[in-house]
Amino acid sequence: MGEAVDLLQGTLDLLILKTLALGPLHGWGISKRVRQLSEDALQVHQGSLYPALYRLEDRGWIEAEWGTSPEGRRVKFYRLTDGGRRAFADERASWRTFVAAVEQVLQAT
Amino acid sequence: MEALPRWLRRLSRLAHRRRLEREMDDEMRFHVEMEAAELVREGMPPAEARRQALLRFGGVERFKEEARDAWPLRGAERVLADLRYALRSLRRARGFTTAAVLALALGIGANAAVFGTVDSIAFRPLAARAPEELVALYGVQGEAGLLNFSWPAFQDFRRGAAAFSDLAAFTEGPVSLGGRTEPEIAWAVHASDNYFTLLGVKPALGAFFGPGDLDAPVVVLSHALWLRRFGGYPDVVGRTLPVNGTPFTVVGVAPAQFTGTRLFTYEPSVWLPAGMHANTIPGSAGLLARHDAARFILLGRLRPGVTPARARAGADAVARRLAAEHPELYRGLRTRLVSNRTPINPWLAPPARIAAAARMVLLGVALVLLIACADVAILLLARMTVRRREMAIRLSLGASRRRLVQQLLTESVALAALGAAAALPVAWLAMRGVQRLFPRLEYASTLRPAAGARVFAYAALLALGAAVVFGLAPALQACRRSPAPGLRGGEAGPGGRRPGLRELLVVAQVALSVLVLVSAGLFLRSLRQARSLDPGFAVDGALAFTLDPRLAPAYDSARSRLVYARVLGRLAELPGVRAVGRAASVPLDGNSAVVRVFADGAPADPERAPVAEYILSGPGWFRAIGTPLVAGRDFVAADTGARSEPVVVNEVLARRLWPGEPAVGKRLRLDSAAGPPLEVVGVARASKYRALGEAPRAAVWRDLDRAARSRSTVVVRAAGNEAALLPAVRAAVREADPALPLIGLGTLRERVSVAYAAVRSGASAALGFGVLAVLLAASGIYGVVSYDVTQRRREIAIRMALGAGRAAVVRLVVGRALRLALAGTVLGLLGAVAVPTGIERMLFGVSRTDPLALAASVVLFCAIAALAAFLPAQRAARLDPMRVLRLE
Repeated sequence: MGEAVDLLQGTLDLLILKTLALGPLHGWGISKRVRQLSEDALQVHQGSLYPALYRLEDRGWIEAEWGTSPEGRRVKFYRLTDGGRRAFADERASWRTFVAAVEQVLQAT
Repeated sequence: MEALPRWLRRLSRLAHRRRLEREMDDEMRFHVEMEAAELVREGMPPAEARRQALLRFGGVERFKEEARDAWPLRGAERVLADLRYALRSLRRARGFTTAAVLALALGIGANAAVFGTVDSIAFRPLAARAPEELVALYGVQGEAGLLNFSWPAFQDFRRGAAAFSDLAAFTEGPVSLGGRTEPEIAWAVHASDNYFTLLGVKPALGAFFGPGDLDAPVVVLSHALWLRRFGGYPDVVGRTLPVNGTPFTVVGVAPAQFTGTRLFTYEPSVWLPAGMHANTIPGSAGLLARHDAARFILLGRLRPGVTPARARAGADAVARRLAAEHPELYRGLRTRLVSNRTPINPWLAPPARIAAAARMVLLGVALVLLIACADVAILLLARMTVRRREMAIRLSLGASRRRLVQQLLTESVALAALGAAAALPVAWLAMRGVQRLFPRLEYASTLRPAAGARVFAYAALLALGAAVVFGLAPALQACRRSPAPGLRGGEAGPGGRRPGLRELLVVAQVALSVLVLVSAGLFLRSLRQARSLDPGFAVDGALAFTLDPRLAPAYDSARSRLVYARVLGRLAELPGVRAVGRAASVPLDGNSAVVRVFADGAPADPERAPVAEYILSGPGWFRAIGTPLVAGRDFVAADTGARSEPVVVNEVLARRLWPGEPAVGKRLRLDSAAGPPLEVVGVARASKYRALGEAPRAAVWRDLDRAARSRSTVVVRAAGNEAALLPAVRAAVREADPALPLIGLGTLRERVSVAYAAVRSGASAALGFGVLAVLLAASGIYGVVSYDVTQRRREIAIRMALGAGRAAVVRLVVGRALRLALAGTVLGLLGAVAVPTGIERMLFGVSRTDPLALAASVVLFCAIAALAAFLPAQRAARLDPMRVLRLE
């Protein structure tokens, strides 16, 4: 496991939205996908994923549905709603603006 | 698919909270299992894999809590949970809850009852349009305060006083309603035709009489009479109702909340146009034309924006014109406005006195509430100490202090709500008690305190306020403390014996209760003084009743006289009757009139003429009422036909008019110097006429048999027990004339109870408050001492192990309680002597520093404090020192 980086406030939501934009997943799946995509660079207490999920669900950006996992167990799948898709686009845009701005500051001589 | 609206999702989640909670569990467990399974696949032993998976997940409970926070309506849910928790813990601490709820129920109940009563007296506005614009207009002249006006004077005021948009006039009196069989004597208002228009009252049924109806034979019924006599049927309008034997047409019914314009007087059953007075008021010939028949109370509506002072200046100008035209009647006349939303009868109850009484009662009951709150705070504090461990555990488990305070406040609100609920029956009972404090009058009184939504709301508000007040102290104390000592479970922190909040509360409580107790003592002493005071006539040993032959069978004056002769003759023959007499009114019964007296040879100046109580009485009256004559004689039957009219004066008037000379044989005139001369035949000892506390007043008696008045009160003086005479008196009157209704037959003491009412009500109320205050303070002391004993078990056990006897332990515990009680008592006494409460104005013949009342309260209170401390002290004395020491 490489050097773990603490997540910035609010970025967890963005990561969840991104993983769900690729297709419905259950909670553990989301956490695993985040780890894989970041190649273990982003380390989170996996438990903190759930409060974030409930928050997003309350905002109406994602919705949950009970289904069956490949192992044959009843699990809750999360899926992006249309509103969530729009929100993801907005969040991604503002994240990029933010990163660009920080980069610009850091590059200043 | 667009998601459901957010609020709907939230509601549905709130409703399915339990299922969601379970699903959250499932979801997190699944996560940890999957993680562990993966680690096993990577080659980790299962037990270690599970540990690792849990570590990676983080604190499960913390995330659950965070996840719950992400849920909607979290606040509401938390309050509900707190409430459930509060109720559960209240149910567990049964003794504590019972004590606290009881204290609250008493405190809040007493307050709600007093509020209900004061509300019905002071706050409930007159049922009229813009009642704040209404004022009563009276005259003042020389020594005579608050005079009524004659009808011609009313006309002058109505024309001349521009500050009023209108003025109406009314006078009150009894009438008989119904035919010759079973007539009902009812209280009537005889009003000018603009009375209802000026008030702006809307009829419940039909119409009122209005401008132009002054001489119309019409009658307006009160709502109560309509229900009682006509069963509430709407076809009553247009029907005929005989008033004093003359047929009147019912035109309308007043709304239920309109009971006339005066409080503290009889509640009118009918309203009649004043122009019909010849038929409705016996002996009122020329009432609307005569300047000397001052029977009307004027009711004015101020023009918007006009101050009472300006209105009075305008009215005074009219009074000066009147004085210029009729100096023999009106010289020096000025006016006074009694500005009140509910103009009260200022004769019976001067507004200032009522305000003082209301202040006293409100103060007393507020003190009771404070004491009850202190009680609950003490209980809560004691409980807090017991629960310190619980609080400490919750704090160290990560509960925020804010959360704990919230929880504790929820608990006190729940407690207060229980208290308020229990307070309602207490308030209801107390209000029934309050109603019994009001004197019984001849006719229904307008004063009817009743519990209603306003009382309920008041109790609820009070409870909420109390909850915050008494809940705050323990909550603050809980969050100030650091959890460590609580967890160790030891005794209170360092210096556990320094006086804490609890002790201060007890001292304050004791001080307040002593204050209340001293007032109760003063009122009781005052009542004793009033009872033992000689009113100048014999209150006990006589019966009294009223007859009104001109109302009921509508006899003329000549026949009335015959009826009286027959009734009095029969009564005098009854065995066990010592004397019988009649008069227009009985002293102290609240029906009094005054007259100006002009001695022959003195200047005929109405401003300087003495004002005397004006009493009409028949032969034998002084013997019957029990007032001795100091000179001359009483009226005799032969006086009625004699050429010169006799008169009796009291010694006060005699001294004033003819100082140093015998009064008998002198002449005087009443009302004006131009009146017929009357010859003084007797001088009576002075007595009390209006109030027990009054300074000696002048009085003059005229021969009732000569006057046209027919309504009079008969007093039957018994040789033995007066109550035993009741059936015989009733039978004798019925035999004399079966159609004559006997009004208000009872003992003379009952008849004059109105005079004792103020002192008696004050004493009863103060006693009630005193008992409540002492009970509550005693339970406060008990709470603190028994808590103290629990806290100091160890110390007490050591003392006992070292040889202290049981008596010494009891002394120790009780002594400590007595020290607290004494500190409070001293403060309370200081307060009772020094704080200006205005109590001296309510007292009768007792000073506010009355040593007996002060000493009695202190002794009584200390005895009760010792008793309250004795029970826990005994518990302490029964401790087994070895067990205590081994356990702790």
